[in-house]
Amino acid sequence: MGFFHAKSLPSFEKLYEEYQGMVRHLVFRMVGEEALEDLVQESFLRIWRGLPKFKGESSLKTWVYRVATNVCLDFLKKQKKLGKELYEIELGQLNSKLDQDLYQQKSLHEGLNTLKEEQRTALILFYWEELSLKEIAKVLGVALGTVQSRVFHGRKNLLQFLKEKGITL
Amino acid sequence: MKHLKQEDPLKDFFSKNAFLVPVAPTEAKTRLLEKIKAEEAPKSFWQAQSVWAMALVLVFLIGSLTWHFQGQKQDSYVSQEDYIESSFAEYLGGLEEKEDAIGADYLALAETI
Repeated sequence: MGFFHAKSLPSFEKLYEEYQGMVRHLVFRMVGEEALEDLVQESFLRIWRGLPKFKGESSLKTWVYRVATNVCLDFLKKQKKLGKELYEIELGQLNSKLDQDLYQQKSLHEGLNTLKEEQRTALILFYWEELSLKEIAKVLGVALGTVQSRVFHGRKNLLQFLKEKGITL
Repeated sequence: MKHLKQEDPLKDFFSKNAFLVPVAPTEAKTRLLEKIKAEEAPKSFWQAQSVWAMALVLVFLIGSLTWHFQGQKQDSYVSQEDYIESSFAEYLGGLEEKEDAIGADYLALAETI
């Protein structure tokens, strides 16, 4: 945050260098590869446009997460309106150990996709992005208790799904 | 919850089963910066245009106000001239009346003499 004072291109470039990896991870995990480049770009455009409004009430990282998460959620909402399913992973016959690993990966993604969007987002932020519950609450703009509930129920539903798929943890 | 995270079997499951994120294309940053510059360019153009527009409006306002007040001044000159002319005519008319009266008096006097 120290380097970042005003809406200027050089400082924005620094911000981009620092957070583009993080934003890519999040977008990829939220929406998959198809729209990845467009949504990463859209996230940074919104960050650029929103810079004058950023008052430093939360950390810059949390704010960047918030913008990128909203971009993904907007995209998913539009996809849902268009009747499009969340991205799927195609697998062939599962023979080798590698295939088994892929099966687990696919099951995890499928399991996440069966959850309510708010539970899915909360789990992605909690497990993959390793944000604390407090940070997730700030990113999503909801109360801490709401996040706790979303993680709890999401976790329960996901474990149930994995169990049905024959995956024991 | 931190405690839960450490013991949570899902935590390992998630980290084991994360797909690798594709590397960002080299031109991604350039494209983004170009887009930002393109977005900002019309703004500065319109900012420059708005300065010109404001200057034009100001000149127009000053011009029209000056014209308005000059017109008022001229109108007041005209009315003053009219006033002087009419009061002079009135004065002359008065003089003529007086002369006529004096003439009539003289005539009456001459008749009586």
